Amino acid sequence: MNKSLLIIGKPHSSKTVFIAQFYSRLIKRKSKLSLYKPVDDLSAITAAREALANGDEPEPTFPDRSVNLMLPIQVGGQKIDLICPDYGGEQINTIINSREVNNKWLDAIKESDNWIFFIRLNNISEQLDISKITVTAEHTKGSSEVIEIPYSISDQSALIELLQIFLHSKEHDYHFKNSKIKLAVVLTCWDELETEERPKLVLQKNLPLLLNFIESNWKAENLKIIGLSAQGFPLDSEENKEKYQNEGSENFGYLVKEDGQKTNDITELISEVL
Amino acid sequence: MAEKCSNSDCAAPPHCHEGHEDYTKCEFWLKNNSIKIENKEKTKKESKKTNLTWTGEPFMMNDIEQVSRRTTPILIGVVGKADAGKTTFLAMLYTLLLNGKKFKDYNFTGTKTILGWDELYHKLKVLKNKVAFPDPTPSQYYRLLHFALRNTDDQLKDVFLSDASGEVFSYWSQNRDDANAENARWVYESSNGFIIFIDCVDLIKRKNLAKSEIIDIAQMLQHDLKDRPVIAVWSKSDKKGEVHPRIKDSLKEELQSLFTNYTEIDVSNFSTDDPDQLVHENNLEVIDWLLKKILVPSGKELVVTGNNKNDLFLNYKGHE
Repeated sequence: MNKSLLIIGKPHSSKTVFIAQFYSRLIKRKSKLSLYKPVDDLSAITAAREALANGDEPEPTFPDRSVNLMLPIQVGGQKIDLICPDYGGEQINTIINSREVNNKWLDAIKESDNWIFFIRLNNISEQLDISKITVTAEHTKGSSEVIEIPYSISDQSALIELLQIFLHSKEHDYHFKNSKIKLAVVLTCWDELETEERPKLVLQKNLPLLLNFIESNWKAENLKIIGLSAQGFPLDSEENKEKYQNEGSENFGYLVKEDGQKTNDITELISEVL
Repeated sequence: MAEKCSNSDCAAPPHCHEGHEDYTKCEFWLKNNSIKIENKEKTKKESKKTNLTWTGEPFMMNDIEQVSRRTTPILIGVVGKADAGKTTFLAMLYTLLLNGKKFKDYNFTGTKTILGWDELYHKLKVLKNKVAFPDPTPSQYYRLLHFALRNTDDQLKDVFLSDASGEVFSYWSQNRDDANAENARWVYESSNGFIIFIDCVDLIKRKNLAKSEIIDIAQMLQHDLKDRPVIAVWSKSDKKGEVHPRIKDSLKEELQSLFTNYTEIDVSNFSTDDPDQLVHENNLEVIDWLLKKILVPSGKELVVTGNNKNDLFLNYKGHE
């Protein structure tokens, strides 16, 4: 049985690190998911695995690059050939900015009923607006002094529009909540957030309209909101690098499931969305 | 979307830096805005290529069809004179939603005009303690902003809010058939419900003159209203206390006597508290009230009885 996974994420949302770490966990054979036969072609993640083994963060995926990694996995008794795409996250920005979905993406969207949406909250810029402040005379005097901020679409609106474009490409009927596509919204680089709260609450606090949009368009049983730290910690200090060099990257990284429980088995992310 | 002059020092619209009476005739204005039109056409072509049916920009009248294929949309007419806070009200609606506030009985299910909304939200951002606020809506211009909403029974509703310039409503209030009031007539004929804006600051400054202009618009609104709901929004209500009580009370009374399916509410953009009733609650409550009034089933369901016992189609009464 073939299943295409669609991992949607802007640049630096740790898509590549996740795929590399996911594979490393699979071959350790200590996870819920395992490989039922060796992978034919690993070239898609070679560079990323090497970097991680050295305790380095993988280079961002080249914008034009799109490769598929086929992972023959076993979940319980079921064998699934999982197609994991790896691509430059810039392609997602291009879809948002040009409002153009090329044929390759259109096919990928149409073929997949298992979507993983990576959001790195630390890359979402938060802006102050008038509803958030208690206004004083300071704010209102002399309107001529107003400095126009150059317009660019806000991150939250952009993510909503991105999903609307994907749903349109999938010919979603807005009369009904989605019962066909399984969606996992994954808050990546969870370690950066330094929170003990549940992923859904964190999303609610940071991108409430996006959450409202998603919950209003997906049946609850088809929607998961999860935290992921594919690396476990940043690889910016010698001490942390050495941990990777000595112990192996696959021993790090964790998931925070919907109920707030932590697990070191990041392969469970995939079983959540299958 | 909001047009700007090519001269960055120019404040147009409405006041031309070069002193032209009509800023749209100024060469510096045209330099920027004729290019804009080309760009727009280009985007439309590109979007055709990609099969996206919407551009994200505000809708024009004939775009409504894109949505009316799936539901019968509800149109809310936003009525009031220039600078009464109509566009800022729309900007505040989306800003509040972005910040996690919700309509009472509806969840946000999408929008075809997200770029339009987002650009309005942009105008309410605070930089160095200053807020830009939306530019005055140009007089020839009107736009429709869209929300797809889902009610507690999971039913989809499409809602449009009109944003036409205040001037056209002033023309319209003086002469229903004014050549310049076409947009106002369209809004009036097409809307399922109305928001009429009362500018508290204008009432403080221009007193009875401002009041009579509101009454003129209200009179016109009433002429062929039927039972469509009207909500009067006292905008800039943080200043309402400064409106002369005589003006405030008589205006309130006169509006109440004009309309039957009617209520009024105070809104503001300036919080004095957190949460602030006028800012964080009442702006959304305007839409909640209108939707409740518009979507209430009026009258009894039509019951057809007949003797077509053998006709499956005529006997079909839906999922009973």
